[in-house]
Amino acid sequence: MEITASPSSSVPAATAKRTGITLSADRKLTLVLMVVFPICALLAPNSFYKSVLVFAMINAIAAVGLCLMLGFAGEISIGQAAFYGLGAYVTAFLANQFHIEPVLAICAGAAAAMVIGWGISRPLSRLHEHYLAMATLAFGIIMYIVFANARPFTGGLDPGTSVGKFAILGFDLSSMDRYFWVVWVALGIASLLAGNVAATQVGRALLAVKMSAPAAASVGIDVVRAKAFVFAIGSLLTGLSGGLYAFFARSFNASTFGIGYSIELLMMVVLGSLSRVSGAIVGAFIITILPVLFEHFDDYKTLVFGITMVLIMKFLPSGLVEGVFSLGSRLLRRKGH
Amino acid sequence: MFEQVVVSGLTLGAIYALIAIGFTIVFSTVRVVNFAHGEFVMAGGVLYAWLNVVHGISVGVAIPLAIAGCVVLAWLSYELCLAGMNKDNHIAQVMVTLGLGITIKGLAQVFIGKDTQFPPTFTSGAPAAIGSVSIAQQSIWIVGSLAVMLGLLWALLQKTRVGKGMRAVAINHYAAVLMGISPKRAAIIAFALAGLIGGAAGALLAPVASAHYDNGIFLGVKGFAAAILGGLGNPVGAVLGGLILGLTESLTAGYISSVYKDAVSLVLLLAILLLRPQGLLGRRLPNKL
Repeated sequence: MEITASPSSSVPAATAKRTGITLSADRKLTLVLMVVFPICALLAPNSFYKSVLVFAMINAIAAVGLCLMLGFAGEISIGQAAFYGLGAYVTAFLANQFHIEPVLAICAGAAAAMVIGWGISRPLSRLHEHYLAMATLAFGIIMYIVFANARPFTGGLDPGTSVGKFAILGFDLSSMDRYFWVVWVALGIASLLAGNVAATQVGRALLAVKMSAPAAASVGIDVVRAKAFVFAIGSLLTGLSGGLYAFFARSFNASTFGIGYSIELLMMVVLGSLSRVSGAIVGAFIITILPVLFEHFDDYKTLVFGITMVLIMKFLPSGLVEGVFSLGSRLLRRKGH
Repeated sequence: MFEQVVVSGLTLGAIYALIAIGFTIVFSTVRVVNFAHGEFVMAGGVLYAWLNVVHGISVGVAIPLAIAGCVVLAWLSYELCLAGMNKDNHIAQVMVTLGLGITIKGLAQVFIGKDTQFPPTFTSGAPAAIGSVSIAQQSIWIVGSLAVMLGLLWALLQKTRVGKGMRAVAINHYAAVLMGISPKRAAIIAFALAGLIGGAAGALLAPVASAHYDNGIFLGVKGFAAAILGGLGNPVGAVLGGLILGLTESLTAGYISSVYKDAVSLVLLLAILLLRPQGLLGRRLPNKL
């Protein structure tokens, strides 16, 4: 009895364990990244590299948001820069006009982006892939036009907006060394939130919606609500990253929030992974660091991004790092046999 | 004032209509919204300006060369990027055409340059005057080109074997395959036509509105707005949508605010997408599972 019982009972245990591992592998990787960032910061030779690192983490927060939308729910958005801009401008406006605590201003900016994201998601949930992509692109351009022309609020393209120093209860945290930890904590919260969404029923509902909305509806998933939820979370995180950017750049204008940034965010997710939070963080890191590593990169940036995007989406549609990762593990498994 | 605004609106509308036709042809045969289409239009203008202004090639030679360049570009785009892709992975398709658009923009930026160019109008001469309204010669070229291309497109789609095959693919992909029609050939012709008409639109527009490597995405979104306004997949709808969009924009610029004219036409796009995604002339389609 015992001999026959043990293999049969080990089979479900093994499969359960395997799904357990794939779910937490993402979290483990995220945790590793969260440790790697401070080590990189310690090793950074000067404050320029440190600021690049901080910017990479700010971008990572927005990329995590887009990863949830695109990777989990299949809701493509080419207008994320709108939420990034909303977060930044609301934060700057509140901090400048009402002198409220910077942390609260950033939270308010993120909340504003979330409300707008949730608001547009209700009508947009009627649209599918191609139409949704075009609608979000149009939304992004409209918001850019508003940012560039609503000069009493945003300062437009010239002179733009500037904000004061970041501080918590009067304690100055604006130096790059200290602001690093502020952004680090924010990224930690963002990835924890995204990881929780991914690992729970909500995330599985989103995956079901991505595969087939009618099928998901047939098993009792409220598709419109699920889409609205992921839009709200995605724009919340992107707005948060915009608010952090406001205090990072201290002075910025509307040109930051054009289509270019939306496409860079897409590149981050595509380069990393369409289904892992950690992948989005790696992608954000790569895209932010590339212009620093290659001196004349900015001239060729558009061309390199375009070719990379075509190649990845044609040959590794689950994302570059993800694709290489799964290819590698498949090869390893084959060797093991 | 009003008549002049209408004339400039119709001119602009004719350009949008030409761009929209490209979207429509590609969508009906390949079932893809080509996010790179605006870049074909940009390429038409930029190539024309580059050949004429930088290399001093005469207008009559530079225009056909620029358009031919766009046809090759469109053909290569399909052959290298979209052919053989999984038709059910719509997100990958959107991203590939988006990446393609960025690639074309990058090519223009690296090999042609970032300067804004104003190539000469096709013919120089005094504007025609009808009553108090003056019509620039380039406007006549633009509207005339739209009429000629519509005529040729109609003849191609209705009278020739190739065109009938393309319509068959658009109506029912599998039935067309069973009848021995190659969908791949239809797709290549659709892309080449989109490149031809889009490139011509770009070359026609460049003397009026400048040629710049960064214009593509704007032109693409406007053209798509026109296509969706009339009903995607319907060339007549594309023309109607283009003219409505051009008039709306020019009336907004004339009477409300020139800064927000682009925003107004994009809001119109969003409204149509949300309220009547099949367009003004389209029929409601059932949802596919």
